[in-house]
Amino acid sequence: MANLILSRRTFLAASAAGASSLVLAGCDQFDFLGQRDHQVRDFLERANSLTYQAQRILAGEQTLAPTYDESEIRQPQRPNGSTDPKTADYVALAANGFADYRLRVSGLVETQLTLSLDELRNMPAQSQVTRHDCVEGWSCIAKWTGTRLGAILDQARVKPAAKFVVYHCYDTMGGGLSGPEAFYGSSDLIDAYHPQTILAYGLNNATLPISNGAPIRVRIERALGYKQSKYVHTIELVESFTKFGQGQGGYWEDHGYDWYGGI
Amino acid sequence: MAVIEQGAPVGFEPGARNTAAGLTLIGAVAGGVIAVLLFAARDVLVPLGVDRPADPMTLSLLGASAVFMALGGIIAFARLGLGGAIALIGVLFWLAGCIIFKSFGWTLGAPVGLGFLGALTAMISHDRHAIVADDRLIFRQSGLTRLTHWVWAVAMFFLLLSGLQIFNARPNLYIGQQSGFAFDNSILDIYAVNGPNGPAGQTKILGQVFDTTGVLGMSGTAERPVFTAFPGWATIPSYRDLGTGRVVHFFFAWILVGTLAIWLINAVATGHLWRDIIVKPRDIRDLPRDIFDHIRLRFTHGRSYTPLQKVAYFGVFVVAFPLIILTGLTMSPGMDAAWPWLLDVFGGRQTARTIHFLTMAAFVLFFFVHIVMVVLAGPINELRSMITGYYRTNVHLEPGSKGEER
Repeated sequence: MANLILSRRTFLAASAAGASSLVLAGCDQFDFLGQRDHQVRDFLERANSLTYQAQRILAGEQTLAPTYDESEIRQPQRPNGSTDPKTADYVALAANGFADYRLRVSGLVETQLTLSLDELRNMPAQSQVTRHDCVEGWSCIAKWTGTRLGAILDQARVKPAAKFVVYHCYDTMGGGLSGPEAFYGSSDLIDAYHPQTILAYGLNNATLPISNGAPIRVRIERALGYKQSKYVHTIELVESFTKFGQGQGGYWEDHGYDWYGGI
Repeated sequence: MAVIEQGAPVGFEPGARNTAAGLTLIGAVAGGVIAVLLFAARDVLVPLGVDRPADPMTLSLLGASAVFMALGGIIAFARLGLGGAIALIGVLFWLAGCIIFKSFGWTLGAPVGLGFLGALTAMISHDRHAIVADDRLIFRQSGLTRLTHWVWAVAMFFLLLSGLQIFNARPNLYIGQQSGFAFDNSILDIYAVNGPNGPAGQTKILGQVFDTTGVLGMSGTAERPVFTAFPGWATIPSYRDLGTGRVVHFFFAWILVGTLAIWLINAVATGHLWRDIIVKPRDIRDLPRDIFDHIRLRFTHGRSYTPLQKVAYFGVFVVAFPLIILTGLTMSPGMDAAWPWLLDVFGGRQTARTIHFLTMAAFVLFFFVHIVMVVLAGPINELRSMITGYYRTNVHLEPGSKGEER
């Protein structure tokens, strides 16, 4: 037994030496996980599909995001991402108070729609005081007013082949080697038809300001902030979103965030 | 089991011995060949996915590993426990080499797998037989406990470091449903400021400001300062990348929750939870004496946990794990729709985020106490019980109370 204990002592000392070399090496050892196409990262990303499926089962299609009393609106809605788009089309529209704005509904629909801001405002309005959760970790409570997206989709009559809704936006992001990228986002049909999903044109009892996405932004209340596309000009029903951007379903998804965005 | 006179030599099953030594030796040969090829003929390895030359540190670690594994394999024929322990050292060296080389492919990974299986077979097989000859050796930790323990250790490591990455995206903690921008409801802020002596890192806790330059708020070197809340060495990835932090965090969150669920079902079914983890009035009564014993560093190594140990593991399994999982879920807007009571229980999404962070801090504290206690209580015996399951006691055991053989 004495030999055994001695050997274990040696073993421990040696393993401590081995372990400390790991610690000294530091955590940039795991930076390879940041490579978007690394096979280990691809494997870890499968957990996001699991989260998506699990939450769809747990929450169902219709359960509502929590709503708050208007007294809990204690501050202006914090703007994030694009706050003042500079694309020529958008600047021209904004100069005219969005009088010439037209929302297009296209893709896999029986009837393509072109709706002015007044037409949208004349549809049944819906208001909700909800909590906006940013992927960064902060939250902000605000009142959103708009038209139910489900009603608009019903008007356009979505074809059975459609699986996703892509939201094309006026703003651009980044400025890397490929130049600025047009912002876009997407959701499944469950989120699109959710009773709280609206095309918002009002914020806190006022007209939606440019910093928060004027004239129209999407509110998908059971998802994080990066799923709430601002400055939307076209809503396209598609079978797959792989042909847009880098194929991940949105600007932020192309840059590493998960597509579902419910956690 | 046959009654054997105490201290009598115990023969090992030749099957276990040959399996252990064989696995280790094949691992050693494979490892040795790879190390030599890396050094002398790297071109041969290119089709196998090894595309870079290795630095001397990696080469010496991999080489030393092959030597240790070979030595362990040979010794295992005569002394199983010793051979297994030496082979395990080789496995650790190999892992260190792979991490420094930043490659975890099959080519480099296969030898470590074989060596580990061999070492494990040797050590478990040794203890299984030593239990007959050594009346203080008992089987204490079930296979599931040992497996989940190490899975949790790995998962918690990645959860911590990816969690700090996520925290860095918003290095403030608030109380309530929302984050105050037009009002102040934060209890912790980590940030950088421009002071009279240049930039500095500061941490504000409950209104009190502390200078944390070098660690929190500002780190790196004077020439190349980094302005993140937690420094790069404490996050995965080491640079700012919230998306990757989330991928890593949610993957290991699933691993943690999945293994915890398996453990819990087993612990309830076998009575492990009730017998060893749940604190009972008797434990509370004996707690002061046990705390006193711990202060005097007099440790009881028995079949079951002492009262203080029970309180610690009760805190981990019944309080901390449920708390950190549920507050994590409360941060998900999808889960808040599914389970709105989460927000009521924890007092809002931002309070839940704060509790999630504080529970993390409690886990870090537990980790350090855990390691200190393992070292003080006899690291060899403690580590052995979490690897092979066998534990040497220092109390008088009733005949037949040695625990079930497996």
